[in-house]
Amino acid sequence: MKNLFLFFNKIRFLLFFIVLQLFVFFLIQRNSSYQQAQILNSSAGMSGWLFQKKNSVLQYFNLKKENEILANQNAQLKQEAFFNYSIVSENLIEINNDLYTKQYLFQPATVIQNSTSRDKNILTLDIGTTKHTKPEMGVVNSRGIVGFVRNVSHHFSTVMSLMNTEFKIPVKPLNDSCIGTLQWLPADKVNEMTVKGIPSYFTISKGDTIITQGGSGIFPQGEMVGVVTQTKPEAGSNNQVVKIKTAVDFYAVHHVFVVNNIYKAELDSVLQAIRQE
Amino acid sequence: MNLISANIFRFVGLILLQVFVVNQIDLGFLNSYISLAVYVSFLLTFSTNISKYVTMLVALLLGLSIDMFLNTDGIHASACLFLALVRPYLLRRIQTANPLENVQELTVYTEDIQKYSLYSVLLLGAFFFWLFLIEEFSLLALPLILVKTVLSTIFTSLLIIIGQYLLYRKLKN
Repeated sequence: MKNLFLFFNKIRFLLFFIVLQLFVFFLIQRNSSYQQAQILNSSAGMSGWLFQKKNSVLQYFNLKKENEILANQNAQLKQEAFFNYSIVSENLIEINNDLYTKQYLFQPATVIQNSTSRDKNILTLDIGTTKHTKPEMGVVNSRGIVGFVRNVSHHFSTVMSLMNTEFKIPVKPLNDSCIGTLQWLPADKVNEMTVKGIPSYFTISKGDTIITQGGSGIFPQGEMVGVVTQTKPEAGSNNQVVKIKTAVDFYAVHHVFVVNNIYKAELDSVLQAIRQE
Repeated sequence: MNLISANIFRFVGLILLQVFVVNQIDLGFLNSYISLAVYVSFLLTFSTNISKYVTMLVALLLGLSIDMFLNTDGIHASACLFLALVRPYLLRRIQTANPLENVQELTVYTEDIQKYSLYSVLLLGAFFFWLFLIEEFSLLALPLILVKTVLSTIFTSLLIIIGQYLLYRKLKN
């Protein structure tokens, strides 16, 4: 017994280390399953505030490029605007058109922190619960999808970027109906992604456009994802591996939109009902 | 009191330097192989008068603060703890005629350069190895982990030692 106590006394520094290490492992484990809230994240007050200060200085460096992007987007929106359409016939009068109702709301936001160098890259936005941001909302910019919201505080939120090995959503080619899973493999470089699970008999060629499928309710259907750069058969299956270049340049994401799907709760409850059966 | 306030100042300063300067450095394609952890300099230079248990708690706090900024879930805290575990053994091993003991701040000026380089390379090597191991969480990626460890250790220790030559003043004998 005495020897046992002596032994524990001898290794008490190691035991101290192990106890603290277990605590940290508990944090890592809690954080890495992304359905649960992160305990340590930069949407928390102090670091969010500091990132915002940094951004207020650094945003001037991107102004030229950002202006170009916004001008392009303005031009595109102007083309779609109502006054561009001429009247077909004087005899037709529009009475309360009910065919379309709004499903997605777009909230502008600014990226105040971004990383591309790690396996699990995360962005921080300058909007939070005060602007009705909620977890699992999609984030897009004028070129394509960027990620989805993961943690939210009052004034900030963190976004799981596409450049994150945990990110997975269903996508489809523009001209075909097949569905694949979009993911960022550890071997992929920044702005490169992989679509898996598309059967080999669908011909997908270099230059094809890949868009969101809309099934998860995070992104609207048909949101731009990227362009195919390479296809090859997957070893040991009938599927093919499709490499794409993302439409968004992740080295330069600055102005983004948070997508609020008004029918998300409804969709979720239907999917939940199927799962319970 | 002076020692405590100086340490708090360096703690905050190094975190800000790490997050807002060092992490903004874009190394192009090397980004995925080299990570620069200049903030670890705080633990390298930490006073050897202070109990190793307190040092370990400080290491935990430092790691958690960095994790909060970088959204890295706690892997930096884990690696800092490992560094604090290795440090006392290394300090005991390395001491020769001029012992690395009872110094307020361990810098290139309190020790000769060879000894200090060996000390920082070994500690940073242990730190980065643990960091990348926890990050990948698989021994299959061992070659990649080793390459990343070697590159990151070389560049970070260079930065830290050059930084110390620039920022610290030579002690009066």
